Amino acid sequence: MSERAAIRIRGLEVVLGGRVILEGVDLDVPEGSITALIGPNGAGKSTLLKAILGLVPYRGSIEMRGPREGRKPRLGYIPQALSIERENPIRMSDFLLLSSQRRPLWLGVGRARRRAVLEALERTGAHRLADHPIGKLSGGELQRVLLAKIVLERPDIVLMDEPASGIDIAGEAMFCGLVQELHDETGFTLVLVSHELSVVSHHATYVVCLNRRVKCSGAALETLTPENLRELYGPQVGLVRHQEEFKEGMHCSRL
Amino acid sequence: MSGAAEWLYSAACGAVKALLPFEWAQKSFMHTPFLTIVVVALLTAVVGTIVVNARMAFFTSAIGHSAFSGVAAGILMGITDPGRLTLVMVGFGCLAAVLITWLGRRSSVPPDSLVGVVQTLAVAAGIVVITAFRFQRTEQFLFGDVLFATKGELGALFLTFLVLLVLAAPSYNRLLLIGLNSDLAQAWGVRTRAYEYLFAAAVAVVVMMCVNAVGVLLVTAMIIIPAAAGRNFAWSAGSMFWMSLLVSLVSGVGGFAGSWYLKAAAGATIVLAAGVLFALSYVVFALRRRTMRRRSVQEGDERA
Repeated sequence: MSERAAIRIRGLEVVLGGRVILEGVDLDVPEGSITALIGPNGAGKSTLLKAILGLVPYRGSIEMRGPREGRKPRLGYIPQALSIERENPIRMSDFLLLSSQRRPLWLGVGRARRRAVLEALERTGAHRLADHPIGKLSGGELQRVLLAKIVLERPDIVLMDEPASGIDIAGEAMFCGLVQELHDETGFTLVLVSHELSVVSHHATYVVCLNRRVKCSGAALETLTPENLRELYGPQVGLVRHQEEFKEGMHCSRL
Repeated sequence: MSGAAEWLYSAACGAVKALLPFEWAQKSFMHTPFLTIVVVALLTAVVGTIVVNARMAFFTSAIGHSAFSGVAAGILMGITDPGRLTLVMVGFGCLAAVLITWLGRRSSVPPDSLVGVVQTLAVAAGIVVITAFRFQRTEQFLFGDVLFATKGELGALFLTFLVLLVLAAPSYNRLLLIGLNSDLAQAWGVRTRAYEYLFAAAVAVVVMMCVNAVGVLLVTAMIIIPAAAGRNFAWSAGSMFWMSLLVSLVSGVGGFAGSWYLKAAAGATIVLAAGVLFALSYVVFALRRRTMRRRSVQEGDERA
């Protein structure tokens, strides 16, 4: 992990519908880190991701940099839940090419691209669904497809908003393991919103505590202290470590 | 018409005579209206796929109705020449399309209500001016009359089709993605705002260019029905486009021929033909859904 900031946020303020969601947010997300955003419901975690993506209006500055100087970093995004119209006939393999293939899909897909898509789907365990209509997929299946997009595009910065929330326990373990594997392979910067503190303590290298403002931030082990968590969530909250799962190194454990 | 355009027109007329062994297809005065319908079918199919996918049917209807205000603006500017009036309508339609898109991105009013407000205001303003100035061609703008289409109008429509195809082809995949989920499209690096404005303007150009041929009321139907039917027949993103194009052409040609034998208005007969294909597409869609459900139950049983 380098000391450079992949995302540099200064004086961020987001007001939606007259309500202040975020104010005075100053944050440096270290390049190549797995940065977890934690905080109670309504703390502005998802809004912060949306501000980074330019999906909500904001004041302040957000600068992003990738490994290639002078070039905008490529972004990947896995939202909490993706709403797709149920009767849409677009196939899953086509869906993955919608943003990256210039040639209209009515003129077909090149062999090399088709192979790359199938390999990405195979890696995320979704290859059997390649020809399924996107509208028919379950929430968990859609998350796998979005992960396949990350395998396919190799972005510089990946933003995930509670990505495992729609997946069953077995799928969640596989999902988290694969995310860790991809991160180790490509070194992208991952910003992850999660309510699962055990996931955070297991995978994150950097933690940001958010509740409208940044309450604390730093290396995971130094930041996830009982004092910080109590201040963020209230006096009843503590971190329970699942030692066996920690040792295996590939599982997302639950609190 | 230039030499090349005249040659292209003659070749197209020759093809109509040779390929369609019907009485009406052999009459030279039917060639320009028929070719106009073919180009309108192509134009509406190209934008229709995206319109239906992005749930912009009501938006398209509003743009069609803003033709009334376009005509009114033309009258107030003292323009009577049909060609120049069409240009004013195109400009007015683009303005309405951009305004609706701009308001939609900023306003807290639900998008369909916003479109409804703009549509009714555009119609009302147009009708006030049209009736006050005793404009004679209102019926043509409502229902169109393709039998009076000129070679010049056909040429303008064909040129619009070529420009649209060149612009829309590289944007097709991204417009589909924006229609599916705009936030995801932006997160994946698509310039959603630019695409939304450009596509809204493209819909306005297509609608206004087609108004003379099929009328305000029917142009919306020509954009939506074949695309909706094509989507029911489709099994992928690519087939959605081709099936829409096929339904549009079949209903265009079939409806035009039907209107000759029924001695009825061509535009309305074309839309009815598209309606029949839409009903058929629903049957195909329902059968396919039943097969998928059966297969899904079987797979579930095997897993269990």
